[in-house]
Amino acid sequence: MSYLDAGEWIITVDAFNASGTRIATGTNSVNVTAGSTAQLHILLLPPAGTGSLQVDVFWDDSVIANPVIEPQLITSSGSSLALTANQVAAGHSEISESTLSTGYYTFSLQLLDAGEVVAGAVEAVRVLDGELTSGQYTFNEFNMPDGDVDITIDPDLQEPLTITLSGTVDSYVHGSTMTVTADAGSVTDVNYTWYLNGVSQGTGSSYTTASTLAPGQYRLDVVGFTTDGSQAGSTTHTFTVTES
Amino acid sequence: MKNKKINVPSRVQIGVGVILTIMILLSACSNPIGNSAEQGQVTLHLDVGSRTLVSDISTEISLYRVTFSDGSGSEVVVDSQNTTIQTSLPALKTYDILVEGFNSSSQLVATGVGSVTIESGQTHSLAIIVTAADGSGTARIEIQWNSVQTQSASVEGYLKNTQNQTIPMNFSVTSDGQAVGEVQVDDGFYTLEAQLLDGGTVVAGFAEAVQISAGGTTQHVFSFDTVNKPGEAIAVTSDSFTVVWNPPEDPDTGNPLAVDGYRFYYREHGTYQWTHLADTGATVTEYTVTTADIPYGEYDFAVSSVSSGEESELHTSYDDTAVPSYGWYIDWN
Repeated sequence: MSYLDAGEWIITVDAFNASGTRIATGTNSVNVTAGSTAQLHILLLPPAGTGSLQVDVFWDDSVIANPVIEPQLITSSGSSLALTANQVAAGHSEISESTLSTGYYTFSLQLLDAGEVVAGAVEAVRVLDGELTSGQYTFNEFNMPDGDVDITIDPDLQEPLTITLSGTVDSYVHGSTMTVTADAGSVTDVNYTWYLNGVSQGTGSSYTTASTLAPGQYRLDVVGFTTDGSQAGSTTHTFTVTES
Repeated sequence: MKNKKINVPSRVQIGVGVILTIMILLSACSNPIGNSAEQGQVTLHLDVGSRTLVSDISTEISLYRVTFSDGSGSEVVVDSQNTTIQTSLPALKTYDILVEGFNSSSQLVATGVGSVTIESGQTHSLAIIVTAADGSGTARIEIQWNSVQTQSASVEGYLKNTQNQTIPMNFSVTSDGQAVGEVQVDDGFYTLEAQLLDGGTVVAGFAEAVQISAGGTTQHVFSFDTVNKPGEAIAVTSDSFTVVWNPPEDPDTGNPLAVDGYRFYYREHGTYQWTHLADTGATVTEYTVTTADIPYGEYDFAVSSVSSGEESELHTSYDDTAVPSYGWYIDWN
């Protein structure tokens, strides 16, 4: 500057960005003497005051069942400032603070699911006087903690029953009878149906042929079902009724 | 006296006459007297032990596939050949568990389900029961019999489920002595009941447990070598009739064999005790039955040969070598 009157001057410098926002200011004094040029350095600093902070946090709500957002600001001296996150929609929370002192902070953000940290971020934040500092975080990948599961598979394939017959004879004389008993081993809740040449003869664990059964060869079948119908089995015995 | 003589061997048609032919060596007659009961008897060559008809799908599991689904579309799949599976999963989730059992042909044969909520750093144990996979399968049953023993064969068969509901198998006779029935039903156990009928009369049958597996076919062939022939009633209204037979033949040359004579028998149809009626000479291969011999009624007939004092087994009107081969009896009145 030229043609300043001699004497002591106090000079203030304000710096503006392209949007006309003052982003720095500085003041210094200088003694101006006639006929000489004085030099002066002015340190520009962000203007002191308060500013605002707003952070939006997004996450995949189909993955995170019980989300909790824990944000905080840490000052340069290491003290923490608690922030509050308000969930405004499924998978979206908003963190807002309007009276933060200007300066730099460490912004810490943790996303928890059922008490476990599954995602997070830490970033430096600068608050300017009268200005809003905003940001957005979107979490799609999560570090879900692991748990273990032991599975024991118990195959129950309803294998067929093994039915055995006792009391069978290969042949007997007409007029006599044969009593046959079915057994399914350890499976006891079995209903048996008896068949002679494909014709049902009745139910029960035993069957006695009729004494009037004509001489000849016969096929005796027994089909057994467990009472719940989950298993079945059958067996057969061929025998001859002789004339004498 | 009228005498109805029906004596033309195999050239005679059914209904025209009755022929008791001895086409084979009497001593080798396939139907010994001990088994020539009323209307013949059934012989099934299915003399097996305990069994159930099962599907062609092996139920032996060679691989278990366990799928954990968290409901969001993401899945964790674990394959194992063992029945115990240990794995780690992202915690804080509830998983639906599907266990699938595959056989060595990679066919799904069993399934089971469960659910578990995984917590961080903890181990959860659970047991899952796998049972036969749900679905439908096919039962295909084939029945074979000696067609010479039947005149008008049909097969009736059905599956009976555990609720005693019957599912017809719709057997169709595909060729002489063969019928096939097929039906698709839900998996599970059934009772297969089937009867072979000739002219509406049950001549053979069986019952067996059947297991149907999802996607599989349970099939079996039943063979009846001999059936209970109902026989055809040959109506005779004359006062007499003649039964003719052929002499025994040399099985190698087919030439008639010399015998000392024949013994002719009868029994009332529906009984099994033969009664000797007459003897004939060595060259007489017929006998005329009159009311002087037996009264009107329904009769079966049989003949034996006598050689060197030894009598052969009986050849009856129900033998397969009789004409007609499905058996006959006289309805005389």
